[in-house]
Amino acid sequence: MLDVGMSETQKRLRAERIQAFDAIVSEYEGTLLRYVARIVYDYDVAQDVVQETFIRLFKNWRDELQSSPQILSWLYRVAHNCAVDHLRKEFRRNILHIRHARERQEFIPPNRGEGFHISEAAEKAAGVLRKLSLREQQLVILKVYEEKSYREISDITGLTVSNVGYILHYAMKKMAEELKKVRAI
Amino acid sequence: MNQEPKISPDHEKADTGDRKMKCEDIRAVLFDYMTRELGSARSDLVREHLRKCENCQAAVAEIRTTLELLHSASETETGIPDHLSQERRERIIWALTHPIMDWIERHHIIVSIIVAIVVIMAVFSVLRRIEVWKTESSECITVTIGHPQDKENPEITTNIQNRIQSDKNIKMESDLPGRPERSSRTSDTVSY
Repeated sequence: MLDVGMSETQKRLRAERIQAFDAIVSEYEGTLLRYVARIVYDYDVAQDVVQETFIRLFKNWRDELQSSPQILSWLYRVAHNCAVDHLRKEFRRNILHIRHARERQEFIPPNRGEGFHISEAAEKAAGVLRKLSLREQQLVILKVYEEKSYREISDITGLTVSNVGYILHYAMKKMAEELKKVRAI
Repeated sequence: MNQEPKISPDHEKADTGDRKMKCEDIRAVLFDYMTRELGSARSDLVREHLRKCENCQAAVAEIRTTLELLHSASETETGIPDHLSQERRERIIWALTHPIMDWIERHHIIVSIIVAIVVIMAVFSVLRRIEVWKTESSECITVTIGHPQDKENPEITTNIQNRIQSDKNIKMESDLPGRPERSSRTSDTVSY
């Protein structure tokens, strides 16, 4: 349907672009799935978010589709925004859900999705991480798990390098204090 | 007042001197130091401070434990997929090759609202048209009975008169009181 009215050259260029795009998906899908799963705590949702991120990449990326630090930063940024959008929607739904459950005198915890398991020993640290703001969580995940430099985090988030250091310093301080409170340290 | 300059990461304008640092200043950059974000000169200052300061050593231990716990939490995360599912991959390709359908699908709420509005407007328009048609057809019309041409067919004239008289809403002008006699026409006129 889309090919109607396209010249042979246009068709060939489009096919090449889709092929290049496919290579990008293969290269970054694992990284993005891991990153998003740590934000949304649900692997199914992570798949949806990453799918949406790649669709946006194809529609909005005007330069050549070739693996590069710029494209990875762009993907991290868009994936994060999509994940945050999802969390906000889920939050609004949960408010309604809790309100409805209260009316019925019962509460059903939200489904975190199958396959999400965490050991007792590490649960406290994960719980403390979840208590941080979304911005702090993002920076901790990028620094600690994705092992990005402050410069790379700055490119992804749009924050200044100094701000990245500042937020991370206070996030780690907050986490250490919380872990001390629950006697994990 | 001789104020101690604050130590800062590489990315900031930093004090490169080897003056003694306050614990507070050191702690502000401990995470930077531990994650190798400090330049060598400043790292040396922190290292030097840590050798002598037990409180700051304890702070380093806290950060290290926090990081270890975070890593151990990460190791217990099982089942994070390495790849998108086949279904999602196909969905992406579909979205690329059918952008309009994809847009409609992704904005189905907006599309549904627009379609609903169009349908309501269409129904409203049809109903209005029917109403107008009904009004037009019930407007006052004048029927001439007994036209000279009809004189040749008196049966038709009689039939029409009978039908009109059977309708309550019809009044024969000829029945109206005070109607002047027409001399120019031989016909009767009814209105309904």
